[in-house]
Amino acid sequence: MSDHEVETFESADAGASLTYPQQAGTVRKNGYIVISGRPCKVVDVSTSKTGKHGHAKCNFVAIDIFTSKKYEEMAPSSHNVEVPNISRKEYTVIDITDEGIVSLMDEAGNTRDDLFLPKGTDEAEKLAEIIKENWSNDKEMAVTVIKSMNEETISSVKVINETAK
Amino acid sequence: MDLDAAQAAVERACEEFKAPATASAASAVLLQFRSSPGVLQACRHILDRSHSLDARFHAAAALREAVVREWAALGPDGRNALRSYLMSYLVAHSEDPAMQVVRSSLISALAVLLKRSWLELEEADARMHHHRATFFSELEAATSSAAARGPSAAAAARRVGVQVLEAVVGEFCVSTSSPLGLPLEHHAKCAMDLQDHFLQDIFRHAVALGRAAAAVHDGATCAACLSLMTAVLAWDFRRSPSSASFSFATPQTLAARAAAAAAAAATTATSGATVTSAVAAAAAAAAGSSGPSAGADWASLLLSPDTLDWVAALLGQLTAAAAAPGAPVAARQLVAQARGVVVALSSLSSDVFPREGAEVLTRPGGGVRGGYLRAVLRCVVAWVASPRQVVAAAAAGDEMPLWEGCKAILALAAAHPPRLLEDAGNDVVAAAAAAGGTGSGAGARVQTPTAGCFLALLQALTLEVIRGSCCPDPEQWMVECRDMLVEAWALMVQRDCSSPLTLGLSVGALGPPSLPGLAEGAAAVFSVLVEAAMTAAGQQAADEGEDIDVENEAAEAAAEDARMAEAAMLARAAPAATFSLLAAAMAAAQQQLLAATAAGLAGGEVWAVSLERLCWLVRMAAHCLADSGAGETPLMPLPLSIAVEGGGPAVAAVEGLTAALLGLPALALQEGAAAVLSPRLMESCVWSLARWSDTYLFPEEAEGLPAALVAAYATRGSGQAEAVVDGLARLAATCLVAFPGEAELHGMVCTTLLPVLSRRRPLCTTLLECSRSWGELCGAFAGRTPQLSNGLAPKLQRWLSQSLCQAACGFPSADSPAGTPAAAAAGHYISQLLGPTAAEVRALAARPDLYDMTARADVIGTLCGMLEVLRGGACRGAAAAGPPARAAGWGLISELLAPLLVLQRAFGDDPRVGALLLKLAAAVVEHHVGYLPTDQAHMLMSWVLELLRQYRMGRAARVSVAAAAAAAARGRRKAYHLAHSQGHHHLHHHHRLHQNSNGQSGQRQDGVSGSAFLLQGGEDAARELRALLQLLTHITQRDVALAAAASDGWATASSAGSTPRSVNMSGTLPVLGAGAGGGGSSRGNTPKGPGVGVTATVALASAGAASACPSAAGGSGGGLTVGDNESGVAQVVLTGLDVLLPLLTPELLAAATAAGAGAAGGGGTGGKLARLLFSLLAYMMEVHPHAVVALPGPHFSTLLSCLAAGARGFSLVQQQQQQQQQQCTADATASGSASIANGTGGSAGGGGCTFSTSVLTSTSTSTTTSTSTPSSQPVAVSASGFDGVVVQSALEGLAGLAKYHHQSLINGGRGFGAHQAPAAAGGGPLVPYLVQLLMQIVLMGDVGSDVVELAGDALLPLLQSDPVAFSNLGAALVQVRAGEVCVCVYGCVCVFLSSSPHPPHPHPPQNSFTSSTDVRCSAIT
Repeated sequence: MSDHEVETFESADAGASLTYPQQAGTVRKNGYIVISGRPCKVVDVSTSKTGKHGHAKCNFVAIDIFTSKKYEEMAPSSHNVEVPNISRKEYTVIDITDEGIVSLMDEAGNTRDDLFLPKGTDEAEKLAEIIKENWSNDKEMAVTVIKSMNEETISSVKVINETAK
Repeated sequence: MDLDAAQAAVERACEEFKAPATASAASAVLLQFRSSPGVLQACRHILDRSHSLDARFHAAAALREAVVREWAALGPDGRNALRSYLMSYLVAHSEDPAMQVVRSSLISALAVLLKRSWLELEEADARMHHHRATFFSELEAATSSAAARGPSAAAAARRVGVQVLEAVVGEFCVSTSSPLGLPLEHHAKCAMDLQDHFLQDIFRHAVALGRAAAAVHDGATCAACLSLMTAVLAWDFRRSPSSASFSFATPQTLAARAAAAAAAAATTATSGATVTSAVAAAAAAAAGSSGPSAGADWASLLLSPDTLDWVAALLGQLTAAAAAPGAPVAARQLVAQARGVVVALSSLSSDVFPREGAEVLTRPGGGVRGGYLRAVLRCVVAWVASPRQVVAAAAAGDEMPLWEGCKAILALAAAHPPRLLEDAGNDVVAAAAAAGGTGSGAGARVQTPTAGCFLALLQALTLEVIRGSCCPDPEQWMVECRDMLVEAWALMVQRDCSSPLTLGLSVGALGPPSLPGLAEGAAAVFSVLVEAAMTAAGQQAADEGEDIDVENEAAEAAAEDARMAEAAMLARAAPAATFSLLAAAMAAAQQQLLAATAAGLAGGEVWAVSLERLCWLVRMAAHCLADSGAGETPLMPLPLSIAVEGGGPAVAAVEGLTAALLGLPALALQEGAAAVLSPRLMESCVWSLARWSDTYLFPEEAEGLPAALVAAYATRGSGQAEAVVDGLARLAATCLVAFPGEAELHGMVCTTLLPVLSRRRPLCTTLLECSRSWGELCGAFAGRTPQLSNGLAPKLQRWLSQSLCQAACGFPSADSPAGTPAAAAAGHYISQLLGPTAAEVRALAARPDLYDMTARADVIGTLCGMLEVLRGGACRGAAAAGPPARAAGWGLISELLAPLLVLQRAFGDDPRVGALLLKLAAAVVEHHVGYLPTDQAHMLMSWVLELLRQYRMGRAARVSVAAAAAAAARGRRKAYHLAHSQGHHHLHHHHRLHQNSNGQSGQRQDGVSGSAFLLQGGEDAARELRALLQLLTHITQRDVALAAAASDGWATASSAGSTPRSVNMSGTLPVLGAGAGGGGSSRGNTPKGPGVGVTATVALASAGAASACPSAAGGSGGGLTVGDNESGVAQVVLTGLDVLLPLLTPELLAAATAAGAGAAGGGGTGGKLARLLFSLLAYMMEVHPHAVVALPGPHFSTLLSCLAAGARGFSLVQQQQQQQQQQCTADATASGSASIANGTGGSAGGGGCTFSTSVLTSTSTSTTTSTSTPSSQPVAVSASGFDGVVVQSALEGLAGLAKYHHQSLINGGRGFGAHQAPAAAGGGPLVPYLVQLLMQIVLMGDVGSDVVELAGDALLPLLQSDPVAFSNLGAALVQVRAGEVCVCVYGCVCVFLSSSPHPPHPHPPQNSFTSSTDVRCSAIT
């Protein structure tokens, strides 16, 4: 039995690829899909057929998880589509510069200074505003960084500790 | 008011209204005139003197409004004067055609005037009818007074009289009445009274007048009379012994009825070009033909030949003339109205008819009913006498005769036994043919009128309509006519029965029809239906190539299925003929398909046509052979089994059709079939075979089946049944494997066919023992073949797993207890099926690089599938398959508990995995917790606790992000800094402050503009919380199991008492092993020593999670042990609630409500969430009050606040409620923040406060959202149900708590002990707070008697245990200023007295009460 399990997950070792092929018919709403080389979240799936006796097709409407741009795609439901691998990692915020560069530290104590405050969409601007707000109020924050297809952004924030003033 | 000036002003405004530039100013003047006080005089002045028609019209409209508005000021004399004035005015102006609109306004004013005064002087019973009858005699006098002015004036006056009566009928009929500002009961009483005393006279009057008018060819009066007759026939009759005990309809039923009427009107509107209001009313009457109808007391009136004969004569005279081109509109309308009356009369329910013996009914003439049928049919048959011409005329645009004829035929077939109908019909047709009148068209003559000539006519008509309707794009009315006629046939076939003695029975489906010609007619209709479907299939296949939206197709398929079920009834009437026809058609289509394939035409048009035909035929065959059996044990349809018992050709026909049905999958199983057969055909096949199998394949009881079928499909040994079973298993496997990506086909296999196969034990036994294909399917599933794992949606994997596991019930030992050797087979089967999946889950959890795995889409997808497989198999399927299988399922699950926790930590952030994990946990608890031995149950409980804690860890973060985003969105508009000083709780506070100061509009905009991810997150979270609540609810099953075990005498859990409840009451309270160092949790409230009261683990859990500190959870995981002698149910549930409640944020409930509103069924996740929550709370308070009371203070007050919020219910009318809640919230905010500022509650106390207020705000938010979102309609509907359940549950919970308190005090305990009222409510002792709360609910809320009763249950123990609290409240009421007391008392009295659905506004008393209680509180403190 354990052989079996090894076989399932070793074929695509962790981090080896950015995407993974999946049968189009099994991609659901709120799942993820790659359209035009962009990682997207599926907001709507509908199925249709060519004639009454044709094979099923899936029509996807999806939104780029980084730019919020809308994409549409159609695929026969038995064919494979690419699904992006998406990772989320939590960091503690250690600094925010005036230029909007956020310094982050992970659990192991490694720091990085290569991320900006989120921007570009309404939600992102809102999030950035909250982060700055919290920062100016001396709150300790953890942010979640979402990464997919070699692109990263801060996707959410939570206050982890109140520092009394 | 200066009358001339008013007249001048109105006339000027009417002139100005015509010019666009001044129109708006003029309309303002006119509106102002209408609503000005004392306008009646001015109206009369204008009506009498003005020469402007417009001015008169506006005066009439103003008068109509003023009658209601100024009723009280008018006085009895004024009313009488106004009434006579209106009557004489109407009569005087009855002839002027230009005055039509003015007249109609005044007529309706007169009707309103009558209705408004109808119930006055009710106490003077003797005078009453006199007073009411006065109106009619006055009307009579007024209308006949015009006779002196010549015949035409007299006729016009009569016409006006009839119109007044029609307006009266319309006004008194509850569904069409206009608002009078009176309670609904008034309307209902008026309707009842009119129906009892006057309606028949009105109808009689209409008939008499109409007859007289027809004699002198006065068309206009005839039309008015017909219209009045239609109005009376459309009356919604109700019968009740006396109007005093009349229970008036609730608004819902009224609304439903109005909606039904509107729908009926709408269908009419779509179907006909010349739809008059009379026809619409008749349609509404016919639509409600199953509903109320005139009673037997109307028989003499409605069934008398006099009623209808003049209408028939009128129709006879006018039909030809009206149909001629260039006929006047009035004539055509008159004909349409007359037809409407006939249709309404033919829709009489069978209640009207007097009971007549069979010998009366069957002799020539047929008694009263026969006479009526002949009279009605004479008209109806005349419309459709020559089917071909009628259909041709309809196609040319004049479809009303056909449509209404079909309608009447359907109504007659529904209400009368076919034999009577046929007797009457034959007479009529014969008479028409003999007379050679208008009715003897070609169609009737061709069918020689010997026996069954009415049926022949009906058959000819049906065939014509069906043929007409299978053109490429049939018109809507054509389809409707077809459906109506087919339904009429189906009804006749169903209701035909051989014995005349059973004529009274309405449903006599006892066998094949005995009426000569009926079965043959049905068979002929059915064969034409098949023919039409084959043609239609060819036409539909022709427009191949376009994309077809699957969702629309599904809706159409459902409608088509309903039609097929009706057609199947026809087919079953004559199985020998129809079944062989179907079988032959299937063979032909199959040949066509094979030929097309052989010729290499797969994918071409012939191929598609043959597939489409097969789809239809295979479904039709299943419909014919078997009923859906939904919710019942499926049996062979009765007509079929009777026919088969009779032997002869029917047996062969059934066998032949079955063979044909089974032959198609055999085709599908051939090599390479997938390329030739379409997924859609496979879907139809799977559906049909599932239906067939449910009835015929190894049924639970084979008694109803004919011997031949039992031998073939329900007996092992011959090999035939085994071959069929194996074939079905192979078909299922083939569909899953050979049609990748066809989700619908997979869904059909997994959710329809496989459950049928695995439901019945004999069938499962055959599958397990004789079916190699089933074994292969199981093997492929167990080995996680890609097509059966990742190739299927997770949900379908669950269904598949469930069915496969459930088949374990087929093992002979399935009922023997686990552990015996005989049980091994089932257990082994389950472990074989699920073992690899479980191992894979374990292996995944054990991977060192688990956190890298969380990024992998494929891993997430696979994990979702595996979780669903476990949920379906190890929980549902195994539980349904008997004890050994259940034990095996638990064996698998118990090894996975730890790995699942690991997976939750790693994957819990992913909404899909998170929700599935919780659902799996809920299913594990649901299906296993009641059956586990004590130690294992405790293991499961600990696991659930840990799961909850971990969930909260992850959830806390996400919710705070969501709340932060929402708060920031609002912060743009509001001063954000206000909230910041509150530290950790700023979000909640901010939310409240914002709501209080900014009001509804801001709130609404925030809700709408909330970002997509927020809403999305809310939906996910709501789903997860629901799963959690279900988990907690299922845990309480353990109580039931223990109680059962204890009463059976083999209790293992407790030796102290007979039920858990008595154990609890006796004071051996459960102990959770104390986790160390729950900072500050060693409170002195453990009155009964260490065994009672706060469990440190609970406190630790809540404290740890509240501060979202990871180390706390890590530490507490090991510290958890559950006491030995208790179920632990209370602890787990209460801890779970502590985890859950803070997560029920306003945003979440709003999102849940919005999500629910989007769903088709209404109800909504939010509603379900609240209902689940409160029923669980009620259960805990009733069954485990000791554990609740033993909770630490903050946790207890959290629960109490939640209950209080539920009990208050927010169940008032929504708009009124919002302000009130804001008031509430403002109070809560003030006191809550005050207590935090003072630091009284400490950190944990602050948490409690925050929650209590957040519940308040959350409820109000969900309400405001529900009223403000664009799709608020379903929410508003569901909200009423939602409230009732919630309030009831909450009050039951409070009652449980109060009873415990009382009991405990009597027994020398401490009752609520040291608990205080929630800080948000001002703190203080608990009992007075509860008393006050309950009194407030009873006195101030607009609540029904059931709520008062429930509140009383809670109130009584409280009063008994603490009478002082109640007297304090009373004293406080007296202390406050006298004026306010008056207001308060007034409010109470209003609430009590008004049983109407529109009670006086409860705000002023509410406020005064609040202030009075404030006074009391300050006095106490």
